[in-house]
Amino acid sequence: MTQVRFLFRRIAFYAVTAWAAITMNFLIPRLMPGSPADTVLSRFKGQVSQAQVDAVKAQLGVSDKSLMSQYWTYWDNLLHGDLGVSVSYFPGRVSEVIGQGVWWTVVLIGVATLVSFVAGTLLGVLAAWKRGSRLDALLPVTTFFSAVPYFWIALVSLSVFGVELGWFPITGGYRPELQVGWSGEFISSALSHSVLPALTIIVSSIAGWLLGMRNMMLTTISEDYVLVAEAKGLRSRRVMLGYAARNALLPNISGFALSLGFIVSGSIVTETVFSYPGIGFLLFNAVLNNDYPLMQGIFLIITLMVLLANLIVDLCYVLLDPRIRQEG
Amino acid sequence: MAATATLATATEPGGAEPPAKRRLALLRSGKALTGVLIFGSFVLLAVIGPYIAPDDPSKTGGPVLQSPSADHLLGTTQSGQDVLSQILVGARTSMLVGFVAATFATALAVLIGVTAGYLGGWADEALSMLTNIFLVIPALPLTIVLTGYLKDGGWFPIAVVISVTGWAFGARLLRAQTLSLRNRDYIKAARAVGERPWRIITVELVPNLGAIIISGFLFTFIFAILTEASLSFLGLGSLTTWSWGTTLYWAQNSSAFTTGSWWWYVPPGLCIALVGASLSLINFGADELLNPRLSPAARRAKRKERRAAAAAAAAGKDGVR
Amino acid sequence: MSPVASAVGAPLLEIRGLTVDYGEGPGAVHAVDNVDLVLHRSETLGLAGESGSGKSTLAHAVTRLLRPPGTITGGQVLYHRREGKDAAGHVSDGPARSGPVNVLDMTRPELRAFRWEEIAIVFQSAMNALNPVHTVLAQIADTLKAHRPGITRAECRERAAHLLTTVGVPAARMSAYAHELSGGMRQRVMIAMALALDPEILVLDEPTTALDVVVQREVLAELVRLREEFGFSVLFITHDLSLLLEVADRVAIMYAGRVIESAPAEEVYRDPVHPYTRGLVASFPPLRGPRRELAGIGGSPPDLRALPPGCAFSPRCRHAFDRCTRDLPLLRRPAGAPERLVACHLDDPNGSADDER
Ligand SMILES: Nc1ncnc2c1ncn2[C@@H]1O[C@H](COP(=O)(O)OP(=O)(O)OP(=O)(O)O)[C@@H](O)[C@H]1O
Ligand SMILES: [Mg+2]
Repeated sequence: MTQVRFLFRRIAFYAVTAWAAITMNFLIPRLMPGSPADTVLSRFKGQVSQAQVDAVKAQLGVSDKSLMSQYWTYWDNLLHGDLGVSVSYFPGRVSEVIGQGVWWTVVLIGVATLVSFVAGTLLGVLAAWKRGSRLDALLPVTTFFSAVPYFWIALVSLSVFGVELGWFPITGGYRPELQVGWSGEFISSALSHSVLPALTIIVSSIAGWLLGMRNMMLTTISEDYVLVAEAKGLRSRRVMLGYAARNALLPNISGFALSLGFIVSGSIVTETVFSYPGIGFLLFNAVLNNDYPLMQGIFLIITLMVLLANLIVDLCYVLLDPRIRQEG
Repeated sequence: MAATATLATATEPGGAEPPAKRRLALLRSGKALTGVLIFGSFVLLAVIGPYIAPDDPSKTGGPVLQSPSADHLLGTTQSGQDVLSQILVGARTSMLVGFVAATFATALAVLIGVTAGYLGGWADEALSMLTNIFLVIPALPLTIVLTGYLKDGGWFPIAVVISVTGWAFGARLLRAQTLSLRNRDYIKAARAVGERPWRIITVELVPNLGAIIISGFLFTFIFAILTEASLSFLGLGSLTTWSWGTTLYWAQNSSAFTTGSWWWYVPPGLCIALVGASLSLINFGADELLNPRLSPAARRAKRKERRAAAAAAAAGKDGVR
Repeated sequence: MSPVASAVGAPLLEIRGLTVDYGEGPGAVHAVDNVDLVLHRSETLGLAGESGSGKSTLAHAVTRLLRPPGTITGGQVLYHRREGKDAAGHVSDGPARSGPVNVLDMTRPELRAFRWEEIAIVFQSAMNALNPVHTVLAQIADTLKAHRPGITRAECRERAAHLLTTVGVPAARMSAYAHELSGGMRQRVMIAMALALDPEILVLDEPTTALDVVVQREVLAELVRLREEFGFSVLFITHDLSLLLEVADRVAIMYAGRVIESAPAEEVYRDPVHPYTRGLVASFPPLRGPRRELAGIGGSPPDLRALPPGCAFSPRCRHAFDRCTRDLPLLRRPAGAPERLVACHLDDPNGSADDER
């Protein structure tokens, strides 16, 4: 069956990409100029045992062992969930540090992307269907928002809605005096803290979906099957959604991978502007503090999550397109 | 950013028009022309900016946090630096990073994309895989990690890093176009008479890919400027040279956003936004070019073409698909 | 003004003075220009003409499917509904309203009800007329559901199975997607779909152009058989006149957006009058009888944006004389041919262009 083959190909591709990212992650500290291990160890002076010094050295490529055996050790650690020791959160493990931040990011990006995708796609459908109506005014506006970098929108919304109007908190993920948990107070605090970051991501990314969908709609609207649907006397909404939009959606979904890359990149900056406790902000801090192990770990996690998200999107694609194109 | 639409069409080989015509077509689109003009004025600014800057951008000691006046057209920073000078000098850094990154990235894209499209077979499989891997891995985290190791190296390593993370997009477009060019008569003829592959690629193919190479170059150029701005804004760029992102970084560090010193953060932000907008406009033009159905005039021609193809397919094998 | 009713029946669809433009102002293309045409009950009317002569535009205008920049700038499309059916095609309880309805005046809901119920269309390209992401069954079912509210799923299946078998497609294929069908199958499926509501009129816009010759023959034979079985009228559009002469009762020839000749098929073949029609008939091998020399029509199709004054065909016409480049010839009935209409100045006894239409 072609669908199984398609999925198999995609899974194989993501597996290779994951391997490439993991290997890149191994090679980067070993190939870059300078000696990250020395930088790290100079901060630890006198605080750590010899075993820990060795561990850090091994992780960052200072070792007598051959590259190959280092690589095996690296894989071995990885498969045990061991990403090493964080420098800035010493003696915290990298995996623990990431584990605390990752859910903030997943929820923030996940919800914001979903909202932006659904709203952008619907608006794109309408903009194409009602071409020449007032909806056309959406195009230049959203185009402008998509053109400016995320951090700029983040800063503007921070100063307007956060500082001037004081509607939403401007920093952090929740009121610091609260205990993290499922209490109503905590959740409502977390929600109000996430409004501005989420808004930033939605405003910045919605135009991509809107314009992509509108363009594809204009293409499908001129297809014969849409004309046939109209000739059959179907209701206008059914023609628009079931025929034109349903087909226009497919190429837009297959362009998801690239868009997600942009969104994730933008979210990192957005989190930093709002000091949001996700892994984007963690990555930023890790770089500032020369926390190489944490930096590497976050890169790896982000990449693997992006791959997973793409795989999920591919699964949806299989369900939506009975033909399944070969090109990845 | 607004790249979704372009990607969606990138997998289709381009139309059958001769390349020279397509190159003109990009400028014939009003949107693309506006984009190129905006962008061109920033290039000009980058060239002359440092010469017309009224002051040394780093020189402190002037009046502190002053709103725009005759002395300081765009006001001053918290340490009394002249904002206008920072913008003018910063333009050059931003443009240099963009230019160098775009040059390297385009070279990589041509090398990998054209080779893949021309050679086909296993080479294509492998190179396309490489391209797709780089497309899927999110660019900014990788860039941040790489620059994390290259701190304080100035703007050049940043440009190199951006080109390493930003070539894949152009390579993918070029591969698709090369695939369609490869089967044109003149290329087939060159192959039939036994021209060497590298000669065919450099003499016959690359000149005909001009339009795509140029638009890919512009795309990477502006993408690099935006990435550099993000990095500098985060404080991960080079803090020894001025760029728009650097100015914003200091503005944020000094709470300009919460104290209302708008003259400090609006101008650099606006510059970045304008460059970004020019990218979108050029991107639109390219989009209409690559996806002819978006421009109404070409829609009918496409239909006719398709009908002919359908007829041919049906005559061949009563074709499935 | 309408041609005398032929043996086939009363008028069903009357097109009067229909004019369609693409675009506005001086750059407008008059793709269909002042066309009169009558389709009778149980008749197959053929519409022939070279590519770009406005055949598809006419079909789209009649069904109000034109897309911008196409606009209907004049004329009427009168539909004579069957006794006891109201404009929307439903059997009405009240007293039957009399007289034809103008399709061009219908409101959106009226139009929705009218479409497919009364006129169904099979489009030019079989390849793109089926929605690639829905099954054949789903596409037949949504038509049924739109017009027969309350129809059950089982009934839809049953109807789809019946329709597919009717056109020679195994009923099991109803769960197939378009890409799983061959070109010929797709076109049969389209025909089955067109018959779903038992329409009065079937418009076939080059239904076989995209098919290879053998499949083309099969589909045509199928159509002829179905017409006999169901008794609908057909507007058959093609640029292949030889094909029309086989399947059509009457043939109308279009040139540059105008009908330039219409007559019973047999007469067109035996004795074409308009020089363009003569050219067309001479350009294919005779169906029966001795071989004769084949001849094409010289010159190139006209530019609709800049039509010559007078007769649009005059630049390519071997018999053109000065009047042809001056006066626009209108359709007239030549002497001794009661069922024929021609728009040509040759052999015009009246010598005046505006005597009779
Ligand atoms: N969307 C459009 N915009 C402008 N002009 C159009 C459009 N569609 C068709 N035309 C013009 O209208 C004329 C009639 O086109 P139409 O498609 O009706 O011809 P046709 O007789 O069906 O030709 P074919 O045999 O190729 O299908 C052509 O000259 C064409 O150039
Ligand atoms: Mg046509």
